[in-house]
Amino acid sequence: MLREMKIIKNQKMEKDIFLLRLERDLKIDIFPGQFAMLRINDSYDPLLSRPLSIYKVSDDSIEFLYKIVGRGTYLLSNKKQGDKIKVLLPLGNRFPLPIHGEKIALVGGGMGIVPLSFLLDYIYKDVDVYSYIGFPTKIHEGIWENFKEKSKFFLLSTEDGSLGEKGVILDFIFDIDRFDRLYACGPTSMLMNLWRKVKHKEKLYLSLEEKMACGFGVCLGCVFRNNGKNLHICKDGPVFSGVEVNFSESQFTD
Amino acid sequence: MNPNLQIKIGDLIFKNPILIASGTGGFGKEISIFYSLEILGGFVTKSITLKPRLGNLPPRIWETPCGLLNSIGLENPGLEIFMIEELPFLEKINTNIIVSIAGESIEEYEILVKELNNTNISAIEVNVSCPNVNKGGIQFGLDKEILYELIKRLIKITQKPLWIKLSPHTERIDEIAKILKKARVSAIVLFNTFLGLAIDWKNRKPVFKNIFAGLSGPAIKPLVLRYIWEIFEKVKIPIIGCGGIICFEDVLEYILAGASLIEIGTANFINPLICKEVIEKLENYFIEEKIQDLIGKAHKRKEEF
Repeated sequence: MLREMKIIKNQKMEKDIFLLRLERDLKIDIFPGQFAMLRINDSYDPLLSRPLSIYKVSDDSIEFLYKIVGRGTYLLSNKKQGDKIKVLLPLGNRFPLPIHGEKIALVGGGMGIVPLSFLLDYIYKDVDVYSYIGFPTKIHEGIWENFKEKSKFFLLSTEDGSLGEKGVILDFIFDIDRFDRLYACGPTSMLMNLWRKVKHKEKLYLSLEEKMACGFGVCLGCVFRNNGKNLHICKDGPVFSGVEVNFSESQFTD
Repeated sequence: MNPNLQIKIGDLIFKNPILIASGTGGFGKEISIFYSLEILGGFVTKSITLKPRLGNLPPRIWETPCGLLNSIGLENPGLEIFMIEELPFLEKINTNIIVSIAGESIEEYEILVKELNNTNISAIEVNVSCPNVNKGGIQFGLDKEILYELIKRLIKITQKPLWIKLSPHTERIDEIAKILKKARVSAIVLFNTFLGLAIDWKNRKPVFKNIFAGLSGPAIKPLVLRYIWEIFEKVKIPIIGCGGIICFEDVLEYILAGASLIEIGTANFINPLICKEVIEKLENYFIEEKIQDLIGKAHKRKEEF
């Protein structure tokens, strides 16, 4: 539902990455994988709400971690503690949870770590988590320390080698079919390559992204075309099983 | 329910002038999570075509100042699946259900109208902003002769009131409106989206694969309002206003300019409760006056300037 929420903090974590914490005044169930649509202003400019993955939930707060990628997120970063913002949430489906004792891989690229971090909080006591997260360049510890603390195995890479291993994260996942489940979110090229690598597609869950206007299934803006049919990311997803998506027969196939 | 909000168009009674515009509420299920669609004056479905359509590949939407460009490409499940899976839900709702139809040929439009004759819907909205495959892809609504031919043939077979949703790029809209009135069209809907363009300057190419896309949202409101005014003065045909309506005040502007009904579109995307909120404000505003008496009222006062 659409509700007005108070900003507890909107903190700069990195030069273009912010942590937004909102007061949670109503008990609504929110699950890893879900997202929210945030009204940037009460005016009509920017007109559309911005979809953000849910990063962390506590009894009295909801957190988002976002990167400034355009004017909307820039305006959001200027919001101050005590400001109010209208939010539509929770939206979308959720990551199917693993079974006790399973061996899990989390594969995150850039801001794709956001929903995975929420999932990690949810499951790390129950399962063995192997986290593989990659960034273009060095990034503040506060953004990835949750993975380091809660994972049984943790590997970070940067494309320029300024932090962790040098290279793209997929180059560091060996024997990929040993995991009971893999959860991934990040750039489409990363998801596509991961999907190709994983033999048992039913073990893979991908959180997809596309520009969206409404977030609840009426504008039909956020489509992923594969196998000759449309998946609507906001409503059918954003989480899809590796069986549901087929990058070989999709809009990304040349 | 406030009886002062009631509007009559032909034999149809609308409990208030607020409708959800085609393509902005799907087939009703998503919006009905937020409120009961029974409170609406009416609901216009996403456009139905004879065969299922996958629509365009992304990107499909692009934000502009106070506006939204879209290039969805008429994605819809097609007539058959619509009739089986979507219509039963809509027919149970106690409000006017208007089905929007789009065809690639006059024959396709005819089949759609014939099939809808056997349903309980209130009216058919004809989306004429589709390419006519038999005439080199020009939109039906942009060719006066073809449009008249299409409407003449549909009027002959329809048992439902026909509304025609025009493109703002139609030439001589006043003449078209006169022709449509003569053809016994029940109402005209002004407008479908304006064609616009966005360039992806980083990659130095158009954002959309189809190059042009439809602009909606508050940015177009004054443009549409001007036509509502003009057509109201020139043609006595019920006008349904559609374009950039996002609040109660916009509704009043449209009605005072000459619209009998209002379709709210893009605003549903940014606030799924918008129609409910607008209707509540109308209920509080129209305590003594009747909304029907206010249609086109601003024209009568223009001499006072």
